[in-house]
Parts: sequence; structure tokens; C-alpha cells
Amino acid sequence: MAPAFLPLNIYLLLAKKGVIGVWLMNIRGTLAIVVGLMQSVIAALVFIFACSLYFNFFGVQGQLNGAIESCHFHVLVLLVFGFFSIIGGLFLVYEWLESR
Amino acid sequence: MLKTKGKLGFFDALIMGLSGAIGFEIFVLLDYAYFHLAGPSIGLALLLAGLINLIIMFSYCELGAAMPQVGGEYTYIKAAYSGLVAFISGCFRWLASVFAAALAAVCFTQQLSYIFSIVAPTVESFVSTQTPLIAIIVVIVFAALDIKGVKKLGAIIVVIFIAIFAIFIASGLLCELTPLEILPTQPLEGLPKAFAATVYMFPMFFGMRALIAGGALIKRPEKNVPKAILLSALLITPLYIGLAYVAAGVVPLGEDYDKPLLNLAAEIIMPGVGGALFAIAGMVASLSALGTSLMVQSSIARGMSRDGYLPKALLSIHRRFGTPYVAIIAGSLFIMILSGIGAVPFLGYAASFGSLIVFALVNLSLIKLRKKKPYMERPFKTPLYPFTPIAGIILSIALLVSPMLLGEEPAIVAFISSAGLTALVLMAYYLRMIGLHRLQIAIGGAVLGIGVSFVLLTCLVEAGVMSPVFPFIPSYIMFLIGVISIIAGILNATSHGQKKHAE
Repeated sequence: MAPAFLPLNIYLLLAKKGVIGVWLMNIRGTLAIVVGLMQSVIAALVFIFACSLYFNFFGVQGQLNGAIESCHFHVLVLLVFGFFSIIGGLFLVYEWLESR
Repeated sequence: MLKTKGKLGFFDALIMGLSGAIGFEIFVLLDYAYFHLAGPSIGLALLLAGLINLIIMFSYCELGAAMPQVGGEYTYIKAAYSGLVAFISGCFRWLASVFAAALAAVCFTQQLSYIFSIVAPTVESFVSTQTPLIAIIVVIVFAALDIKGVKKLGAIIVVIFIAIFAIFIASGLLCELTPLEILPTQPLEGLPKAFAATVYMFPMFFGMRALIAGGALIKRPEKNVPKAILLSALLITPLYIGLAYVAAGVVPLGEDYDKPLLNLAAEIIMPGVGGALFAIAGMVASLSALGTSLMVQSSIARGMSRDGYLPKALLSIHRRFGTPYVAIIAGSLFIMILSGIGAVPFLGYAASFGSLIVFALVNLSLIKLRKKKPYMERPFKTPLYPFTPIAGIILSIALLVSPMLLGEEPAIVAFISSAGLTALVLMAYYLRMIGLHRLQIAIGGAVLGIGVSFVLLTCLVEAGVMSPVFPFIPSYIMFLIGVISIIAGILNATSHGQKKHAE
């Protein structure tokens, strides 16, 4: 079994060769695409939910009648969150595509 | 680089101008103007439209003769005001093409419905109720044809149209027409309505500017282009007035009609074949205009993409067909949505909106270029300068606002939609100026803030300090969304990919 921690001089050597930088970039790239896609999906779901709430598709307002007081406020907050999320998510996906 | 042979003479140029102007618009835009606004004064409204068009075209003639290279309005405005104004003009020209294409699709569906009402009334009820769907299918088919690179219908159609219209006018004048009150009986109420009707019918006129875009193909463009434009403008005005006068003379106001005005009038004047003949002409004109508009919008989008204002992907050319398929598909998506709306007055005003703003900018560019480049060679000079371009600017803006002052609902909706699109256009320009990298960092900061707020709120709710903001979302989901947002925010805020890429 490989040791969990390598000696410090090995890390220094790897850093000198630029290997750690490449690893970190790879990790960042993978994280960017995963988080970007998740963020975009969440934003899309939030938009669908906000529309359903506003236009009362499937009687959503009735089902949440006891839970919410101001439908418009919730729709506004959801739309603002969805807007920033989808742009942020797509930026990460774009960054990953550009880095390939 | 575009190679031009300059083989077209004055007559070809005139036909090019007329083929740009005479199109599907006459089949679809007369109805609203006649039945809802101008009434018998429709001739007056068309005369006004013709005069305003002539005034605006003087500026086009001067600029077209001085700068005959390919590019049209975008080139003139870019020469006078580089940057933002040129970008805005390109966007509005694109929007006008997109709205015109959607209007053409709707016109085609109307005429198709009319044909079915004659040959198969049972199918007609389906066609008339499914207008948006059919319009969308027509757009899809034409986008596919444009990607394949199918050639356009020739200028011979213009000659056929003029012949059909001439027969219609002559037959109408020979039969018993109800004499029309061309001037409104109540001027205070009637004149503003006639002016508002002018806006809705204005797209019938300004297609002749297509000649400007083809200036490089014409022999001695400095002389032939202005002559052809002015002659086209002078010829189509009496032709349209004659058509409207005859149609309004045989179809009285005050009754509900379920057929387009011109088809109805043709049915009465030329019994048996008239209505169907006009319907076929309308369908042919609509399809021709739809194909042309699709290509025009794609070439504008590609031009702006070449200048760096739009994504480079729009420049992609299809490997097999050699056509700009990405630009065609992107524009077609907008056209499909708009044609799905199916409201003719809305589309008519929206098509005018983009064009009228471009007209005002072209007139402004003329004034600016006279000051900026006084020694530029100008084979044609706008008469009565500076009054003519100033009148062009004032009339363009007056046409834009007049239906709204009358409380015209389609115009108000179209104006608000177009203003929203303008805001998007300005935002796109601003984003291009500040750069994507800075925007990504700013968005990253905002997403990070939202994520931290979500996590904090969840913790406070769980601790019982406050009541939940979103009671319908479980706390653990809120927490998870918060954590994802924090990671996304950090990744965006620390991004250097774009910067590196740019370097």
C-alpha cells in the first residue's frame, strides 16, 4: 500500500517540475465541469419551479398555500438566484471547454 | 474577398429596387391599417408613407453613391460613428430582418388558409386554428432550404406582380367603386389615425434599400443607384395607393370579415380566380421574402461576428453546402418564436421599429459625414440639405411614437419588447467592452455571496433563531445548494482561464 504522505523533498521536487501545478489544474478543471453542470441544473430547476409558482401550474400555489404568504417575493428571489446560478454555472462549463 | 463584376445596368438596378419593395407586406399589412385605423383615408396614409420613404431614401442615395461598397447602412454608420452606434444599427437591422421573416411566415399561413377555404373548407378550419404551428413549420423548412443553399426566386416575379396589380386596379376602376373620402371627415381624429396607419404599412416601402446592399454589383453605382432608388420610390407609391383605393372601394367598413382585404377585393373584382390568384401571389411573395430575410439576418450576424461583437461560431460555414448554417439556425430560432406569436400588427410595428431607428441613424450619419469628411466625393447630393436629413430623423421618430400616443396596444407591446431587446443589445455591448473574464469574477463574487447567505440562513433556521424563508425547501437541500454555490463562486472568482486564453 502506498504511503499516505510522501516525504517533503518529493513534494518540493514535484513542485519544481510543475507536476503539482498540472494536478491542481486537472482537479480544478474536473471540479469546474462538475460544479458548473450542477449549478446549471439547479438553476434550470429553480426557473421551472419559479414559473410553476407564478403561473400556478399543477396547482402549485394551492399546494403551498399554507407555506408561503407572498408568492411574488418568492418568485423574485428564485429568479435572481437562478439568474446568477445559470450564468456562473455556464461560465464554469465554458472554462472547462476552453481548457480542453 | 468579394469579387464584383459590375454587370448590372440601370434597368436591372430598378428591378432590384422594385423587387425589394414589392413583396408580401401588401398582402398582410393593409388589413389592420384599413379596418382598425385609417379606414377610407388609407390612401392618405400610403401617400404619407411614400413621401416619408422618399425623404429618407435621399440620404440613402447620397451615402450609397459616395460609398458603393458592400455593407449598406452598417458601413455608413460605421464611417460616421464607429463603435457603439454601428453596433446598435447592426442589431436593429438584424432585428428588423427577423421580425420581417416572422411576418412573412404568418402571411404565408394566412394565404394558405384562404386557399384551403376555397378548395377544402374542412381543412381550412384546422389551418386557421393552427396558424402558429404552420408558421413555425414553414420557418423550419426554409431554414433547412437556406442551409442547403437553394437559389432565390428571380426578379421575373416582380414583373408578374406588377401585371397582376395593374389588372386588379384597372378592373376595379372599371367596375362600380364606392367613392372614398380620402381626407378624413373629422381631421382632428382622423389624421393621427392615418399617421398611425402609416407606421404599420411602412414595411411595404423600405425593402428597396436592398438595392444599396447590391451597389457593388451595379454599373456606375454612383449614378445608377440613386436614380433606381428614387424611381422605385416614386413608382411604388401610386401602385400601392391604387391597390388600396380599389380594395377599400369594394370592401366596405363596418362588417366582420374573416378573409384578408386584398383577397376579398380580388374575389369581388375578378370573380372565380381573383382571390386564389392573389393568395398564390401572396404565398410566393412570402416564401421569397422569408428566404431573403433569413439570408440577410445571417449575413448581418456574420458581419458583426467578424467585427468581434458576436461569437465567432456564427461565422461557421457548412462543410458540404458552403452556407452559414450556424447563423441561419440561430436566426431561425428567433423567427420561429416570433412567428409562433402570429400577431400581424405586433410584428408589423416591430419590423418598422428596427428599420425606423436605422433610418434615423443613417440620416444622422449623413449630417455627421458632411461635417467630418467635407471633401469626400459625393456624386449625388441630398437636396435641401440639412432640412431633408433632419426631416428624415424627425419623421422616423414621429412614426415610431405616434401609435403609442394613440394608445395602440400592439404598438405598445411591440415597443416594450423592442425596448427590452435594446437593453439586451446594450448589455451585450457593455459585456464585450468589459470582457468576459471580469464578468466571470463579478458573477463569481455574487454567487459566493448567495451561497454563504444560504448556508448561514440554514444554520440560523436550524438553530431556531429565525423562521425559514423557503419553508417548502428542506433545510439539507438549502444547505447543499449553498455549498455548491460557494464552490462555484470561488471557482469563478479565482478564474484565470479566459485571461490566459486571451493572452
